[in-house]
Amino acid sequence: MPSLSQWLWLVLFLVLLAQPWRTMMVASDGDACMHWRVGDWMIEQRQIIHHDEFSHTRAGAPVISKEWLSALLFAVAGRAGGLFGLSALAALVIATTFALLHGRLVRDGNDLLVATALTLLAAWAACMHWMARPHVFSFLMLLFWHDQVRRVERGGKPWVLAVIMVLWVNLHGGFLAGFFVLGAYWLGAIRDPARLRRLSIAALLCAAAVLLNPNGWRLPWHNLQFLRSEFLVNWLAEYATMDFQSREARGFLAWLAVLFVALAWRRPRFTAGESLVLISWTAFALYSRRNIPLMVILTAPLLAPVLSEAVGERWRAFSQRLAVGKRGWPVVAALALAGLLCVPRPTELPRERWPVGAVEHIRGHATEFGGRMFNDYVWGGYLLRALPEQRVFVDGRTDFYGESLIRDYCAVAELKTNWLAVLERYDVEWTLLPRRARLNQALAEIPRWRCAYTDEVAVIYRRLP
Amino acid sequence: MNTRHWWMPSLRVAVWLVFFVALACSPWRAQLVSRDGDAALHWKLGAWMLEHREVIRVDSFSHTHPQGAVISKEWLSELFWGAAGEALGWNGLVLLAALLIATTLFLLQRQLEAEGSDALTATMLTLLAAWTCSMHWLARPHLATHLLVVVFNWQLRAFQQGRLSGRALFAWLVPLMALWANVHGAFPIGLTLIGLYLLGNIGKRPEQVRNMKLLAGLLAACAAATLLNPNGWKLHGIILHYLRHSQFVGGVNEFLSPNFHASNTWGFAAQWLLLAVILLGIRSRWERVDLVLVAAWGYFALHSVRNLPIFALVATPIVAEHLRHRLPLVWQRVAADISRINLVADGTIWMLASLGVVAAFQPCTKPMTEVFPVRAVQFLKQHPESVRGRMFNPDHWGSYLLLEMPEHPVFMDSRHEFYGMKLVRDYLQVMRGDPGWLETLKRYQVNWTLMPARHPLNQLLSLRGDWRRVYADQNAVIFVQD
Repeated sequence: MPSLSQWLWLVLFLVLLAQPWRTMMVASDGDACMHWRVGDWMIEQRQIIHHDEFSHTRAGAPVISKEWLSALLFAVAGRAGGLFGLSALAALVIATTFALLHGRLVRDGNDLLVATALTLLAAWAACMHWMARPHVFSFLMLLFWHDQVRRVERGGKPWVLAVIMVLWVNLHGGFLAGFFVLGAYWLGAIRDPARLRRLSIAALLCAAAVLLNPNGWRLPWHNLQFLRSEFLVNWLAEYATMDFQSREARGFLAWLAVLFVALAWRRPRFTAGESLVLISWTAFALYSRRNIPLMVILTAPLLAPVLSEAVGERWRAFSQRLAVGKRGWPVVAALALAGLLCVPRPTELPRERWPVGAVEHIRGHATEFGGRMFNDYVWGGYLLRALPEQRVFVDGRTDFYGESLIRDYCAVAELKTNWLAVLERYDVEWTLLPRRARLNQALAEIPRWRCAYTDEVAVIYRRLP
Repeated sequence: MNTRHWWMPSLRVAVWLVFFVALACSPWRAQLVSRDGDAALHWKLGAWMLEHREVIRVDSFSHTHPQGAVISKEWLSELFWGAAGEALGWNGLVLLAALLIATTLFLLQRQLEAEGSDALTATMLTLLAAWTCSMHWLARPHLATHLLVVVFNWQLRAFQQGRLSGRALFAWLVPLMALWANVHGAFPIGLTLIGLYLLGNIGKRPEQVRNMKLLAGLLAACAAATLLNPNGWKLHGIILHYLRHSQFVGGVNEFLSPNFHASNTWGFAAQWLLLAVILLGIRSRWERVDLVLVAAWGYFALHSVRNLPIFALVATPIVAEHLRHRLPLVWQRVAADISRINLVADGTIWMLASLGVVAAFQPCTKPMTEVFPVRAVQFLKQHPESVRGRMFNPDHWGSYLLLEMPEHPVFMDSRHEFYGMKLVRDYLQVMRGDPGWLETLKRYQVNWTLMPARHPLNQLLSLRGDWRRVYADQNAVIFVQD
């Protein structure tokens, strides 16, 4: 009989494989396809990518691959199952993260029902950033990391953190979050020399472990430089503050409400390190929507004991009756496998949102599209995958393109005063943009440009020779 | 017994003086009238009502909705803004705004001291609240709402803590609610506050039952009092209609969710940091009403950035109460010394004197040329022949234009609820350059545009042979159809 953690894993895994999640995870932005394409290139060439192969704007420029290992994993999944493979891999990682979170809350001695409700609430709050992209590995890594940091605080082995960091630094650029968590506990231990020494050793080991990646010290430096660019951080939608009027904010709002009421009502006593984690990560989550999943994963183990103490005897007795089964993995694995084999697989992104028809047109008239393209930023990743023979103007690798090129892209897309000069500077010969893009309206007024294709989603304009 | 010194300003008078003089005389005064166009709109509407000696009921400022029925949400405060503008120009608006802001902070500090905070803590918390509120300091009727929030919350807290009788609460709040319904459209905030106190009192204990009955009665009486306005229940209808349609609300910056990348939300963040210190460090017991108030207004503030000041004004007395007995010893000692001096200080005379001095010697206020098309308007006044027919303009300039160029009715101003959803949709289509933008301009028979210099519509028009640019500066461009 499976345990509740195992059931939770199965439910999350199957829900994510079902519609609309399996399509949403690959179709929310173009980055799922972009990472697949980058990973594919590395498998084909049997080397880690070091120079750009996909754009005409920065062709051959040095690339700092922040997530080469997860790009490889996504490429393997993509080769095995296409877009469905990407969704399945992401579903596996996400379901495992939240099942492990639940297991950990239960192991910590929290009430089973409280742990389950809190894990489900955490999943609700975090689901706004569930996509088939490398950042899902950061969810998993952060869970291990936080657990291990607390163990090191209590006398655990610091080198385990370094091992986690080696893996994390090669999987996703979010490894910096680990240092923020470690830093909070380090500051919290400043009056306790023994704890401070253990955490300092861990920090030094982890700082060394970060260098064990194909780009050495350049990788953390590159990430920090990116975060220092006010323009890029403000421009990228996922770095923006959550829109609290949107439906996807409701889970996070519910989490904040539970956190506030639990703290005010139960008045728990936290260590200084735990308090710093709570305050700093709540602030980070309010600042950037992409930090919300990390915040709930970090705060759930702190919140669960507070709520567990608050429940009554009758609730506790009912919880204990649910604590049956432990070794149900064969049953769960069999059911998951059945789901994996039975679920219909998406082979293409939704035609009503992605330029699938336009790509077919370009493929059918390849000779007409020899020159350089200007494409929509969000579509860039998709085009890398769907039109590998064409080089894009821009795609989701914002850190690689840098502030200057993104400003040029904005000048054209937003029709700023220098838009035509920028198009000419990059010698753009054709554009592929959403139907409502302003640039289409402007190009329609210029005799040198002709509409070559139009459908409900995309419009192609071509410059006459 | 200590005698009060009329010449020595107390800390709260000092706070009033600093904010009143700084807002009225520093470069901030230009921001009060320039951060959006509504200051000009309310001046214009108030001036029209003063001139015609009647409440405005039909529009005469736009060409897209001429003679459309107007339901004025804030006619009474518009009279004051109109009178101030007609008497002293932009300086008059600044003076009135500075007076309202400084008085709001003065009352907040007075409330904190009345509830038992020492003068130093009350001053510091008032300054923190001012930091949060400053993101919405504009010369507009909503400043009256800020002031009334403090008065309502003060009286409701006094009642909750047993310092004010139910009869006195009715006597204060019911007439004030009638006033609120006439000075600003955000009067439902008052009803919400009473509702939240009611929610916090739900329970079976005798005092809870008594409070519930009284607050329910107060809520009903205040709701009835809001009907005492020139438009009766139609005022409530238009406010509900406005708030329910994201097409209106979604286009207005102040109704959007706060952006924590922007520095104007840092005061709010600092207040939450202080709350976090109380929750995690002080760990004092929370009253249910306080819990409900902070949770509800915290949510409203995250929902709409215009609620940030309301959160600050409601949460500050709660923060003060939790801090009162847990301050560091050094702080308590300094606060006690300051309180001794503060107790004998008065200084009301300084407030009156500064009013007169500032009114007499206030530097001239002009709207910011980088915000409004000041030079373009001057050009149009000097060369009226350069444009003819109907104008297209951005809504945030509409109010400035209807004040400065009444001879050219606007396409749109910030009164989205007045223009209606269809017109707002058409306006947005042109502003975004969506397919069909040109047909929409033709449908409204637009002959010329006055747009921000970097707006993409200028780029689209410059590519067309039948439109030509007749004026351009750093801030604005005028295109005319041939």
